[in-house]
Amino acid sequence: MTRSVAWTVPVELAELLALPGVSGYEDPVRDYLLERVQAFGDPVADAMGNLRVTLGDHGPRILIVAHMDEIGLVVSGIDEDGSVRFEKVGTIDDRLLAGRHVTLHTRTGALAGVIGAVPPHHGGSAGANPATLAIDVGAASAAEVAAFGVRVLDSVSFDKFPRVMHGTRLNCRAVDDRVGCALVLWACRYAAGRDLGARITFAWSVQEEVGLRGAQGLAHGGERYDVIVPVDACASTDGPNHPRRLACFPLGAGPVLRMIDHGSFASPKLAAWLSALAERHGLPLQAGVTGGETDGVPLQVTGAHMVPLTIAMRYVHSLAETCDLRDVDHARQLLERLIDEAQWVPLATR
Amino acid sequence: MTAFPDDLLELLQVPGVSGYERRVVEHLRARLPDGVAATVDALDNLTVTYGRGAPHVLLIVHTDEVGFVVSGVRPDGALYLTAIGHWDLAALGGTQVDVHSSDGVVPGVVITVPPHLDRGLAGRGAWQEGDQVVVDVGSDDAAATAALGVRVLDPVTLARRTAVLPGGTWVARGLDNRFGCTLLLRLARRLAASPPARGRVTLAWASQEEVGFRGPKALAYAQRFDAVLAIDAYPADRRPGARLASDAVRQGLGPVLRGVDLTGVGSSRFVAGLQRLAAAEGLPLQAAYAQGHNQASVFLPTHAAALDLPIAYLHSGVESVHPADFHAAEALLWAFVSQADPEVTWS
Repeated sequence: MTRSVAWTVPVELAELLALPGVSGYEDPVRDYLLERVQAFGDPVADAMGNLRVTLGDHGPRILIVAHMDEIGLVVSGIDEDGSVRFEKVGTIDDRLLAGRHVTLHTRTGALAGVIGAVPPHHGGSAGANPATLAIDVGAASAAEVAAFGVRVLDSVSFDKFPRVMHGTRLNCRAVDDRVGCALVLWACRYAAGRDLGARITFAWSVQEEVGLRGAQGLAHGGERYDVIVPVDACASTDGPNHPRRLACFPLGAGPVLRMIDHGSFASPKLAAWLSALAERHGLPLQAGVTGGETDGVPLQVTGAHMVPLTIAMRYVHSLAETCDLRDVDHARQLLERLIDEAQWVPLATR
Repeated sequence: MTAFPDDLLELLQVPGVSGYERRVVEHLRARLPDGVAATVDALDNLTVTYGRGAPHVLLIVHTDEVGFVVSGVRPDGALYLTAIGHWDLAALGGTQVDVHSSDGVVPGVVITVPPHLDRGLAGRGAWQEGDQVVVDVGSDDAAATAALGVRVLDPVTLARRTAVLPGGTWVARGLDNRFGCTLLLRLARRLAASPPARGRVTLAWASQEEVGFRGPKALAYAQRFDAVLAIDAYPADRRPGARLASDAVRQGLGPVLRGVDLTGVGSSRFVAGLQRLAAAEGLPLQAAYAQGHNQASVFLPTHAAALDLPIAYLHSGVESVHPADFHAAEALLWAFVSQADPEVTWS
């Protein structure tokens, strides 16, 4: 657990990071997960694209959910000079657009592109109107762009280059929330074949980054749960130049119970139970307040105990989202202990 | 699509921030043909000369690239970087960088504040403090950063990414001026096999162009030349709504002769001669004014001109060059140095 040893990125996490899955276009991620969870149970995909598989047939009803989608872009138009116009999908700082490598996902395949950046000594500035930005695919005309197969509404993902800093600090685009997708996948695999004391649903949602829409679909889908654990990122301010007053969760000090954010107050009862569970098993765990929202917001109001189990993350929604692989491993272990002792989770009636 | 040439791709992997070009120089020198001695001066300008007598022609490119240098290690382990060359610092948030320490490459990221937690800090860019950029290398204190091998004055580059766009353009950080370095390296091999019929041709890979032509100035003080042709980048940006002097220049239509730029007016006779030569050879060539500077201008008095490749998105992580322009420039350079009498080009 020390940082003297360089950690490697778990294979399935690396594979999930590499997949494109802009909100509303999560198919590659869902296909990847579906292929794996078919071995564990009978997966169900709803009309929105949410994927879930339920294991166990008695006891408390538990939902463990992560979101498959990532922030990105969508093609909104093609200019006569071959410039590909785009709109943002999800919350992205306009200054983090220019000069980035992107991939356009067309019906005929993936295409490389770049978002142009006028050089600073020629008047360029990241503070310029983002409406003047465009994707360059090396075409000189709209007809050429069309010939490449690019169409309005094609999704565009930022290119991803996973790297590990200082032994444990993974940074890459879409760590939020492919790390959650991997954790739920591993938890599902752990639960498969075990004699479970609960009925546990493992779910991967869509469109979290554009208003928690997939989770709203899950909430309206008719299934009810006693306990809901979203597995997601937690924007931390432990990094350089961050305001410490809000969400200072040191990376590497354990996963975070996200008790208050912009959309929900988590269940103190469930948090206490999870904290005790972690303590019994010697697993580090943090708790606190941050910004943003999780899939737990619409799901909690169906009447469940809800606590997001999250991974402290720096530079969220940039191309270098950074988390600590030790926290990921501790979250994996805590989810396994939760599965082991699932029959004892707090219920409203207990 | 034309893949990146191997020689260019290899050279793009070698870091060479201004003032730290030694590795680029070593890479190039190791690939120069045998038989002619190359020299490296005190500023790490690499030169090699083919032929003898007059006229003496200089073809010059630069080995350096815009980048950063570690200017400080903070108590929290983060780094301050100072920009070397022109950068849009406001656009750097969330960018992956390589710190080139004496122990090897240390990965880092330019910090951001996520929109979820923005309480006004992002207005300026949390990653900017004055003219410095804050970089996280994953350590939590200065001692841990030191243990990674990071030291003040280590050079830093953007993490290198390359791509070939569907339209054929090559994309990479540092294409300015590694494409020029590659063109001259290819020229050296041809000149070694077929020396100039008349006069001398000196090929120069100069240092510190991005920070005020310091390498070229040292060369200008050291020698006199009858004609100087700089091979560099021309800003040919495509951005909807942008109004640049370079609007008339397009990638894929050939290299660009910049007759006039902010450093002055080039030799009109030399420019006209190169245009005649391109026409005679059937090679595409554009001509334009540039809002920039060129290193040929420091060689006074002489016949000077700049032959540029149109590059989109200069000084960003996605500089791009069209292979047709690269190959046309290669052909024109060879046509120039292989003439029976190169002097006809400017006289």
